[in-house]
Amino acid sequence: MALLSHAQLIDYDNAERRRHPAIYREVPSSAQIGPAETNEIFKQQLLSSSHQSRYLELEQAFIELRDQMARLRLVRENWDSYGASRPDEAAFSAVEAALRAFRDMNVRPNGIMPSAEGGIGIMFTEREEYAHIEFDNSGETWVLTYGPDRPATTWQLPSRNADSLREAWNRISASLQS
Amino acid sequence: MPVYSPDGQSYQDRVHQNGRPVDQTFGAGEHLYRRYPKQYLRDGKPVPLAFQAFSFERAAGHSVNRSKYSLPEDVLEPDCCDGNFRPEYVVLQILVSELPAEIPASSGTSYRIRPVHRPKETCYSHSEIWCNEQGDIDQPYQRPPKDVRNLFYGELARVFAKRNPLDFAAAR
Repeated sequence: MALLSHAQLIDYDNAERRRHPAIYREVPSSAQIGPAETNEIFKQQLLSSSHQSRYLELEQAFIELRDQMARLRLVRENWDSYGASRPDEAAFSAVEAALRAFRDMNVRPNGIMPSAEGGIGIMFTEREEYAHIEFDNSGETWVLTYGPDRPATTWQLPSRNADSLREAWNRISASLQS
Repeated sequence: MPVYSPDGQSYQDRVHQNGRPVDQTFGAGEHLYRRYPKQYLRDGKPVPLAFQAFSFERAAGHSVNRSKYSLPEDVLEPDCCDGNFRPEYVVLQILVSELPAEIPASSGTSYRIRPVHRPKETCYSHSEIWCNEQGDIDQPYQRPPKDVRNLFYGELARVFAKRNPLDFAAAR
C-alpha cells in the first residue's frame, strides 16, 4: 500500500539567502569589503605563522638588533649633551660576538643602546624588570639588573666569551623572572 | 635668547646669576633636573645606559639644574647648555630626598652622594651631584668605582620609572 505524506515545501527564502548571502547581508559584499589586498593577505599569513614560530620570531628580532647596531655606528661624540663618548670598535666587535652567542642560545635581547660612559649595552626586559650587559670601551663587561620591587644588583663578567655570557644570562633570566 | 620661555626680565632674573651668591642649602623636596635624549626613551621611560651621564666620568660631579632657582624647561635653554639648542631632549626630575645617600662598594668603602650648587653666569641654578667617601662637599670629588656607579644608576632608574619625563615645546 502506498504511503502518502505531505510533500516538503521548499523554503525559497532560506534557499535564496544561502545562494546570495551578500545580497541578504548575511556576509559583507565584495563592494563592502573592497578589492582583495594580496599583499595584506600574505602579510597577515606571515604574521600569524611567525607568531607560531620561535625560529622566525628570533630571526626577525635579530634582524632588528642588527639594524640597531648599524644605527649605533652613526652615534656622535657628546650624543647625550653631557660629553658622552661614542662606542669604539672593540665594543662593536664584542657586541657582535655576544649577539651571535645569544642567537645560538635562542636568547632574545630587547634592544641595543650606546652607553653614556662609553660603550654599548644589550638590554633585556620582562614586564617592568630590567637588565643590561654593558660592553665598555675600556674592555670591561658589567651587568646591571633591577625591578620595581627589587633593588639594583650589579656584577662584572670575567670575560666576554660565550661561556661567560651564558652564565650571565642564567643569572639575568632568574632575576627577570623574580 | 630663551627658546622654551618668553624672553623678558623674569627669564633673565630667574636663569642668570645676576650677582647672586652660592646657596648650598638643598631642601629634601627640591627637584633636580637633567636632560635626556628623547630617542633613547623605552616605553616612555629613560634607560640607565643613556642617563649614565650621571657618569662621574669627569673630575667634577655631574650636572643638574635645581628647582629652587629654575623651571624644568630651563635645563634645555642654550643659556644652560653652553649655548647649544637641544630640541630632541626631554627633562628627567628627581627629588633631593630620592638620591641614594650612601652606596657601599664591593671593596668595603662607602661612597656618599650630595647635591652641590655650582652656579654659572648664565645658569644660576646649575648644580652637581657630588661624591666622595666623606659625604662632605668641601672635600675633593672622588669618582666612585663602576659597581657603585651602576648601583646608583639602577636606583635612579627605579625612581625615574615612577614618573613621566617632561617634554617641552619651543615657545618661539
